[in-house]
Amino acid sequence: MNDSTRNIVFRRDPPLSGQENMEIDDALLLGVRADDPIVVRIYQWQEPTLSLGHFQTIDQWKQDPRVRDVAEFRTIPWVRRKTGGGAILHDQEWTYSITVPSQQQRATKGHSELLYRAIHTSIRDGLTELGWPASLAEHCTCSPTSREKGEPFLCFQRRTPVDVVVGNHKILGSAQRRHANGLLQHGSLLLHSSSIYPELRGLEQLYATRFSRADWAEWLEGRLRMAIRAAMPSAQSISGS
Amino acid sequence: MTIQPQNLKYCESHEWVAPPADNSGIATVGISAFAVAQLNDIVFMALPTVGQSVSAGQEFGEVESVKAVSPMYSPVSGEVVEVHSELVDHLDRLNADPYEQGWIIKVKMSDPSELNRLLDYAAYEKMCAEQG
Repeated sequence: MNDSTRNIVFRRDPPLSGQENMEIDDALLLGVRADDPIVVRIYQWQEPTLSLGHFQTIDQWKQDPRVRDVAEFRTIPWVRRKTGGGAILHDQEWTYSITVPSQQQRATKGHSELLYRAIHTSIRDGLTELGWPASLAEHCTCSPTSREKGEPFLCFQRRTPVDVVVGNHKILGSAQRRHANGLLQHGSLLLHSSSIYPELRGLEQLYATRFSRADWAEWLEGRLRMAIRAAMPSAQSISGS
Repeated sequence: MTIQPQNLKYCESHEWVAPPADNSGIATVGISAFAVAQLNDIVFMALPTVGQSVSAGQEFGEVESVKAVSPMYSPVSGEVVEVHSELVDHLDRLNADPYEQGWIIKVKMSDPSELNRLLDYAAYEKMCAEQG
């Protein structure tokens, strides 16, 4: 993440299907070249959609007793992400993707803590500046044998260090994917619970705020811009939303 | 078979290969202790199947840590003749011993001269030290 001067392009796409959203992010990652700008997408989904972590299967979801009993769960459109982690029910939220070109990707395995922490810290700090308490999670529900121990299937039911939480509620989760020429980070900012999964509450409920969705997108873009500059001080924005 | 880190060849992407100790042409491949430390918490590994072709420098599998999916690149070209499938259910072995217990695949090399392009232990250790 310590590449030299790098431009940042922000784009806000209209709501698309799960397949379309993931195809765009996949193309950004697989097509990235060393001299490309950092690309930040902020987007929503045309309909409630389940995105599976890269190694999750839809059968795992359907084996959940609750899913078996509720038609909306069984029939929800789904797509698989290139990034890892748990499944996300994309409904009342903003999703972001950041594609960072790097010539050093091959020499690095695992996640970029620098980028990951910068983004989550920026979101936490932004909420705090608005007068809303938020913190970074410290514990993890994962382990090398977590699959056997039944780690929650949904990302927002899991905890990993640096997740942004409001009390016991996780409101921002992210995951990364490395490729030979770049890094992709996905994240979801939960604004409101989905009617088909009401126990996962979002910022609008936790803070009783009246921000519009457009305001949230603007705010998220600003926080991502600050985070990227914190992680990569030479990065410069060359276009806004 | 005893696998000693000092006797291996390495990719800059942190995979190791143990050259064949006999004339079988079969090399053993894994990821280094440095890679395991970078990955921190490994939760899943996707491996190739026996009979699959692999190419030097190309992906042969994926490893998932808590916050990322990372590719594993093959140090050599050839055909996968054995896969350490048991490892997927015992990923903690990679932490304990990424060499002897944590080998990942065995490859029947199609071009043994590719080994000459890889880093020896001293060069790899130097590269890791520079990465911190």
